[in-house]
Amino acid sequence: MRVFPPAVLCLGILFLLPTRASAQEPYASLSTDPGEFWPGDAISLYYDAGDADPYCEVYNVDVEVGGSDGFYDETSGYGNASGSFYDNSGGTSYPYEIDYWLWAGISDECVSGDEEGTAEATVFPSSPVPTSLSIYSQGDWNPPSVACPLAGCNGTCPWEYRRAYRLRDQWGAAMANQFMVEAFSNVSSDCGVGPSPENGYTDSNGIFTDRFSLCAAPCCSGGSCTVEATQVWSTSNIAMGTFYPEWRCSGFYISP
Amino acid sequence: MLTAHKVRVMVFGVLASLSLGVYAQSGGALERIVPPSSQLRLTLPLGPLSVETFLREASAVAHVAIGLETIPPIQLPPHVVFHPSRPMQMVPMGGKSMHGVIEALIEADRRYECHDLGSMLEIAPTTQRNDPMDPLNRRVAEFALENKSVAEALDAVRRIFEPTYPGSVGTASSGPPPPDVAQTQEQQQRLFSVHVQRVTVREVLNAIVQAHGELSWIVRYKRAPVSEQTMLLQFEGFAGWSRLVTFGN
Repeated sequence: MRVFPPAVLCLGILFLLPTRASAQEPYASLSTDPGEFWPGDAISLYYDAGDADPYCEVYNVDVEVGGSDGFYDETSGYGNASGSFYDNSGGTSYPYEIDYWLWAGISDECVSGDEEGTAEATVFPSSPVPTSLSIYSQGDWNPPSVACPLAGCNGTCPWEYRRAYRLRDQWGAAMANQFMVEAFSNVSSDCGVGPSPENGYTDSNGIFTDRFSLCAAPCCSGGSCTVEATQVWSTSNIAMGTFYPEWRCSGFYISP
Repeated sequence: MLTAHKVRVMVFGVLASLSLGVYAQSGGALERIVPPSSQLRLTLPLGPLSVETFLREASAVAHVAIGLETIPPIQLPPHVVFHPSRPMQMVPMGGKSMHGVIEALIEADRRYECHDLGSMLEIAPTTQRNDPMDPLNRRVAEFALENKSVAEALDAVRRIFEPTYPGSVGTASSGPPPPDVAQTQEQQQRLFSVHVQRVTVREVLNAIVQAHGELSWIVRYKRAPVSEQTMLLQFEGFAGWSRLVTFGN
């Protein structure tokens, strides 16, 4: 695990106020103090202009977040300041110490002040996250290749259907070598068999193939039967897609 | 025999992380290491299928047999979609021991406990493990298999609950074509024997997995309550294949 030295982020807040006197100094606080930062998190910085006269309108706020580890954000505007902090260091999670200060300008009529504090936070890296599973191709596969030893089926399942998926991360990039886990629920069957889930890896293009077949005694003897189930594909413990396959002697159906 | 083994685990095995429900023994499956290059990650917060999918992947990459009983899914109205309560965190598990892997999981879901049975890990919700009404705690006077395959073992387990069950013939298959067909076939057709007496169904499943050597069992429920009517039993080979049987209707 990478160990990072405590870094310091500075939030510089500049209040430029019209001139009026006030007895209470402004203050500021982070919405995540203490808390955790996550990639893309919006972290609000709340501030109060103190006892400044209502006429002492805050007309400009600058927030800067910067540091050697790649954090940066800048917000400018009226009212509350907020910013999105993001991490491009690519590291593992590590504790972060944030120092911030609030400074309000002093004028003849509006009083200002400054505030310093520390927020403990944990920053998590922006690593690829499995985000979408799209159908890459699908259709009947001929000739069927899955073995079926039952009498009447000539050693092979009567049909085979293949559907290929592509797994992508949150940036749309294909995710290679991801372990895909299949699970079934809501199983019903009058074929004398239940569905057999299998696992596998995505290839170098983020693609993996789901291969369906049915080897059941009713089908091999000219009868009919159906297996139904709810199918969920997961990777990294994230459910990526839910499908509803139906195995029938006459063929295979799946939605969506 | 299994009862004695269980006692040994409980007496000598309470080494570490007892507060987290991890019952370890020296030299057991918990000491197996997940390959550092593995992409196994624990995604938090846990989703509805997370415990099962995480442990199945951990079992596959670390080549550790597991026995897993899961908690019945919560029945949400159709229009309700699961949303994590906080932003997603993915904790890398490569290079960790299975002890670290299981500990991280149980830290995230403390309803589960893990027992290291030496050659395999058994993970189950504490309440279900101790519930006499749980179908896996059903007592079995005797269970015997002589040179049988996984498919035949699966049928034999179902016959504990339904003695007249004719047996499953064939398969409704799904999933990626096996990368190693020979290895898959060998694991599916491997013959093994089991002889146990005065045990629970849970211990029967453990005995089957241990006798086969490259197999895990997973029991999940279609819905609450926990019962044989809602139970799904799956044997899963290390090569990625599996066999599943439903109970009840």
